[in-house]
Amino acid sequence: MAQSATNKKLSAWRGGVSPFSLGYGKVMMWIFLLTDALTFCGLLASMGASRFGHDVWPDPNHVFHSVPFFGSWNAPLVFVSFMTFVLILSSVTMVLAVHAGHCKNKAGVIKWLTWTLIGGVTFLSCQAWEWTHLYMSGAWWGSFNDLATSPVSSFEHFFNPSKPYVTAALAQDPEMALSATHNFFNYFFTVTGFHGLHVTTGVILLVIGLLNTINNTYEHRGHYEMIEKIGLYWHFVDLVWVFVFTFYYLL
Amino acid sequence: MAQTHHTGSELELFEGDQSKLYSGVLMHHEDINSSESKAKVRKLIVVTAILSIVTIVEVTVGLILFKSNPDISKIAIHLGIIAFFVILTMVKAKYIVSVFMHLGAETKHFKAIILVPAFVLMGWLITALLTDSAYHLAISDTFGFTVKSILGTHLPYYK
Repeated sequence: MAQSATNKKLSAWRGGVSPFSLGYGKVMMWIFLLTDALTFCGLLASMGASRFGHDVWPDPNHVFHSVPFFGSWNAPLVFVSFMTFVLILSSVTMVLAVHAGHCKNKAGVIKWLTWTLIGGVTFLSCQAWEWTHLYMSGAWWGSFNDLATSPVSSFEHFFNPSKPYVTAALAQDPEMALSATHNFFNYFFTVTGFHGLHVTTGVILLVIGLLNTINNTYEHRGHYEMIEKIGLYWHFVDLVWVFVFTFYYLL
Repeated sequence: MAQTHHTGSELELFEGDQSKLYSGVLMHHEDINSSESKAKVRKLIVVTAILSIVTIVEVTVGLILFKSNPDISKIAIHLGIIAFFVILTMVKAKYIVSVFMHLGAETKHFKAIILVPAFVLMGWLITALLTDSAYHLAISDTFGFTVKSILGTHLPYYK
């Protein structure tokens, strides 16, 4: 008994078995996603540190409260909740595409990949609208960095006056409120921009995967593992958004 | 690429990536109409429902908090709100990673390879950065009151 267990262990080092029962590409995708998660953690944690280092901070409910086609309707959280649902649903259609690939069901893969693609493009369009909207209201990388060009009246509406110290800080220490606003938007555009870059990459991968499926590439290869790898990446994008949603829009 | 794949011998097809031969990716195909496959899809639908419900709860609580304006200068209330959202976020992350990304069904050692570095490095990074900004708050005249008022020894000079 002990002898056979030793032999089994040794054979893993001789080759011919897969210790993780995973293909090389999938393992490498996981390692890449781990490093990418650390990058996003760095961005979000430094945003958190900056927020913790300021006594006041812009209130997301006062910054993100607009919905396209609804003009002056004051609706915090509504639009970004819609974006979140779009991304969650596209994650579900992606996992259904992976499942169809597992069953070697080409028609199913094409159908679900197309829905995922639609979800990804919808999300990116929403983000483009939101960025444009914020840009129009004066927010961008490096904006709100000087009280001479950005007086208190240009950023006080980003704050919630019923939160502790906000009214006092805006009146008596506008430099600190300005610094908070400056950091808030720098981190916002960097984090959502880096995430949007990932969504864009994911959409490109989805297009490639869809074309390859239609061209029977995976059918000839004998497996749809490439769809699984694209799926891992796409779920990771969804995972990151779950955290961005919490730390940018809810808290 | 596809045209090289007509010879039929698996060894020829995967000369550059033999992990395909041993990881079982070529073997465990199933029938999409089988009851096993349908059970998997049902599980995915259940997870989708959980993710949606958690998101709806988060948004509802967020809106209630926005309308009711709880007194977050009380540290217990502030930390409670943060903990509530962070825990719900971790619940969603758990479902996405373990079911959608299939990590829950991988081998024990592979889970460890992914999760241990993630938790250790991220935990340390967050601890280090928050400690640093707490120090920044504590030494700064301008930004000095949050930490001190938590400790109950100081009120903002401009209050």
